[in-house]
Amino acid sequence: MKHLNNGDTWDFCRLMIMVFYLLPPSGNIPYQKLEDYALKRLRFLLRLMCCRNPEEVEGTLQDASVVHQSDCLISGSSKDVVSHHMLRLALCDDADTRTFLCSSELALFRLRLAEMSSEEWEDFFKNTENNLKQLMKTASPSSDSFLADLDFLIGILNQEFCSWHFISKEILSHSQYHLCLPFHLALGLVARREVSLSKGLALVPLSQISVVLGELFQRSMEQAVHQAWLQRHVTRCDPRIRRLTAVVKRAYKIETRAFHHLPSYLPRLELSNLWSQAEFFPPCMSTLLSTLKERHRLAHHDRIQLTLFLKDMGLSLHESLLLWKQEYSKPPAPPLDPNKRSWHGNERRYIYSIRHLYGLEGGRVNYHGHSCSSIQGRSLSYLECGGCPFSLKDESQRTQLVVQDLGQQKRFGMACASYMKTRLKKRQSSIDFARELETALHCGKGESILTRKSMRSPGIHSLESEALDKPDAFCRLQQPETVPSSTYSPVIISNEAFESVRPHLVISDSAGCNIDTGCSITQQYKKNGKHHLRDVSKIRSKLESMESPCHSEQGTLTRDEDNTGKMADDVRKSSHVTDIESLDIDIRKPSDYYRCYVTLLNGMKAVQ
Amino acid sequence: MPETHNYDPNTLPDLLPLYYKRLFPYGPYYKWMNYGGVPKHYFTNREFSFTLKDDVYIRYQSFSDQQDFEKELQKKCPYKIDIGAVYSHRPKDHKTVKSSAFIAQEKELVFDIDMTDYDDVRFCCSGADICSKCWPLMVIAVKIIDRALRDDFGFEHLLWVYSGRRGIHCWVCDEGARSLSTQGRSAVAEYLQVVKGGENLVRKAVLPEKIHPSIRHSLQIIDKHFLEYAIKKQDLLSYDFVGKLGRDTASRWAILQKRLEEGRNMNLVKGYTEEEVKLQFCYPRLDINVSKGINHLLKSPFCIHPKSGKVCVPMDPKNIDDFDPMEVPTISGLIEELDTSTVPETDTEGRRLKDYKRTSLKPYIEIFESFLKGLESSRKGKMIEQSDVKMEF
Repeated sequence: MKHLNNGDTWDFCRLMIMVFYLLPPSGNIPYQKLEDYALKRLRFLLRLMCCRNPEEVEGTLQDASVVHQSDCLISGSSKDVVSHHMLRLALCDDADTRTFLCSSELALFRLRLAEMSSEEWEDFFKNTENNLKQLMKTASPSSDSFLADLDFLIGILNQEFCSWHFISKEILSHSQYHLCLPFHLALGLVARREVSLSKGLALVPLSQISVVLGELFQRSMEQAVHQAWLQRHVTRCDPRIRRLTAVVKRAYKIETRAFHHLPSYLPRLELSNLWSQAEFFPPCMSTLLSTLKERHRLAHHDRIQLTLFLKDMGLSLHESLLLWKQEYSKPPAPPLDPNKRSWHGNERRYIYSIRHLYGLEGGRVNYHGHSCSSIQGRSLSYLECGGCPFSLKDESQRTQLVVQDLGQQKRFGMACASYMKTRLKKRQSSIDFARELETALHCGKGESILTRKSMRSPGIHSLESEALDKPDAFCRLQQPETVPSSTYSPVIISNEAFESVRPHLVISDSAGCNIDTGCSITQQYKKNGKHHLRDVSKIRSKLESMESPCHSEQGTLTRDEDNTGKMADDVRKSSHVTDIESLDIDIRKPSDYYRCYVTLLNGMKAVQ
Repeated sequence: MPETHNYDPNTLPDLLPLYYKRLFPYGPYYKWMNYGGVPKHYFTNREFSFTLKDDVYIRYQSFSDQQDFEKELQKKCPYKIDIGAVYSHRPKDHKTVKSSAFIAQEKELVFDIDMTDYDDVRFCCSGADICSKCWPLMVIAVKIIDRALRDDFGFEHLLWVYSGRRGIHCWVCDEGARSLSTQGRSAVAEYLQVVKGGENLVRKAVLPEKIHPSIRHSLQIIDKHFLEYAIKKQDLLSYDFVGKLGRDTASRWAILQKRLEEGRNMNLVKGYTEEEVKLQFCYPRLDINVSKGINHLLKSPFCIHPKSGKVCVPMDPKNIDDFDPMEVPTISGLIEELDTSTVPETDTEGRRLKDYKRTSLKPYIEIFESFLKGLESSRKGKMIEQSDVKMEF
């Protein structure tokens, strides 16, 4: 065992008996400890689920702060069993928490299985066998209950081999032995075609038995959580359990809040700014959007992927319906059949489907945008263009995106971040150039370049009409901090002068271009079209008071303070961006890309 | 000889009532859906959905018995019938049940193969059209999937159906298949899936170092059809496509094979290029999402395809080479046949013959009936087994 001698790391050798959590805990325990163990376990599981590859898992386990809290994670210990069961009670309500609990406990189970010695395997089998004998006496499992299957598996192992000792040794060596199991016990192996099948039986090598055990554990978790839910009224009669449930749920919400919602200070997506903001969407989403723009149709799952992403970005139901109506009312580009899948005639179906995604129909589930890992896992068919472009195995596609493949499945997020950095760098150089030009123009001609919506006269070239031609370009303007919000100078620049500057200026769309632009931080944090100087100073003072990275002390801040803190954190990170390459950008879902990109961009603009 | 060319979609509203009155095989259909009355509420808790005229769609239809089903169909004359899952309660009463208690419990494992998913590798038609040049793809699909489901998974009761225009469906009706979980369905579908990747991916079939036995079997099946399909029917390596190399597709393919062989001998070519090409062009392309969901609704056999007028008929996988989608009867053809049929109305024993047996629907009904016989004998066998165990006679 590699961790045997290192007192600072989580000692796997201290594992007692590996468990399936078949039997509930019993005994007496002070409430405070109960809550304590439950929260420790929750926090560990949350951290575990944040890891995207084996190295990160290693890192988590080696983290001293994790180790010191890990006594309730020693497999088979009473603290382990107690904390596990408490989490079942507390997190069985929403689909979100249920899924989290099942997948994180499964991850923990697999982790433990991977590290067991043969003695531990032996103990595990013996313990499971005994627990099962006890359970099978009282319960009458329905035919698809995992208990029947677990019992079957133990039975087969007993039948085919002479002792647990022998089996345990074989599991850890590259055993030649195989088990003939009904295929539904090895679904993962079947799906990946890693076992051969014959008449419904899968030939599973003994060394892969942990996969089978993992699947059984997953089913046991799903069943257990369902049971806990069915009995919640009974268990929650006890006010202490009610309290525990509330505490655990709150802790869960706080930790995961940031994942689901875009900071409220970023501009809400609307139809009017959608196409211009699309420039800042991650490649997976911009592909979908541009396909939609070109063809006016998207394949079913691509449409779901995009709709949920836009919802995450703040697009309201109304605007979403308008968008799809607009696009699907246009004839699709060939080779698509113009008589199929048009808005007209299918209106009710499309409206229902979009409303369903917004949680207003059917099961009323508040769907979130898909995370990177689920997008990467998508199995695409003909004419679908969703999925993660970095996870495509095609060599030619990857190089086109100017990003090195960083190796493994889970590093696609890093590839995406790398892509963002490339774009940022390109932008930075063009912004620098534009800035120089503007300064030159400003100093040289004594003119400032601002736009005004109503400014339209011949001979005067307005940036705005330029923007009407290219609605997805961006605007870079002079310092209106010195300019009161209600007045501004008109555009006075001759066509020739403009032509020379135009390729290097980044021009914005007129609808998104509000009067008070300039200091980009203030543009970002503007509310209701008005320039709130107060906010700017709030941010400034927060920045000044900050000396170290802002640890979101969530739960104690008010929403407003929380947002200002986030704003300030983003500003601080971005305003000192000179070396883009060194930035550590963590992309877990597509909206992360957008958030980082936009804040960094503004930070770059803010750099003097 | 059925008149398959003169179907006019506008006549559908007039023809459907006749079809549902005289031709829809209620008896056999009910026998199927009822599964011998075991468990008791299987038929009454089954969801059907109807698509009526003007695209009106109604879900959660359920019926108490064959008579009830017959009456409703004749009354509503749906343009399309979909079969859904067996629920915990009667679907038509679902609003009276708490939503968390109303759950889909069982359904056949289904597969849907649509010709449009092959549009990037077929060049004779596109979209909803099919012809004799691209139909071999469906033949290959039936053979490969039928073999895998029977030999690898041990399923026995498969109902293959032609959807009436451009696709085929497979209904796996074994008890084990009907009670399979979502994960189980997913796993079976993924086991069968080889061609993956969307529009932006060129190489869609990637084989690992060791070829799985089911893929090997599939390649053997494809090989039986490949040359005929790729050369004579699709002309995959036509001049426009490839240029001045070789004389025709056949010779170009031979050249390609030779070059690949040479490349392999020189260790320049790794992997299974030829096999991957065959798979990408011919291996069945399933829509995984149809197979995954227990509550997914799929078009029922024996309904009429509104655009082609063809009946959604069963196919015999053992004789799939002989199946011709162009010969499938249309509703207009069948109605005409009824009027002009020379087949006597009673059989040799004086029993009245059902109308569907007096038309060109007969062979297809017979395929369905032999499928039903299989189901029934399997049920009987199981009951005998169970009573042996209980020592009841």
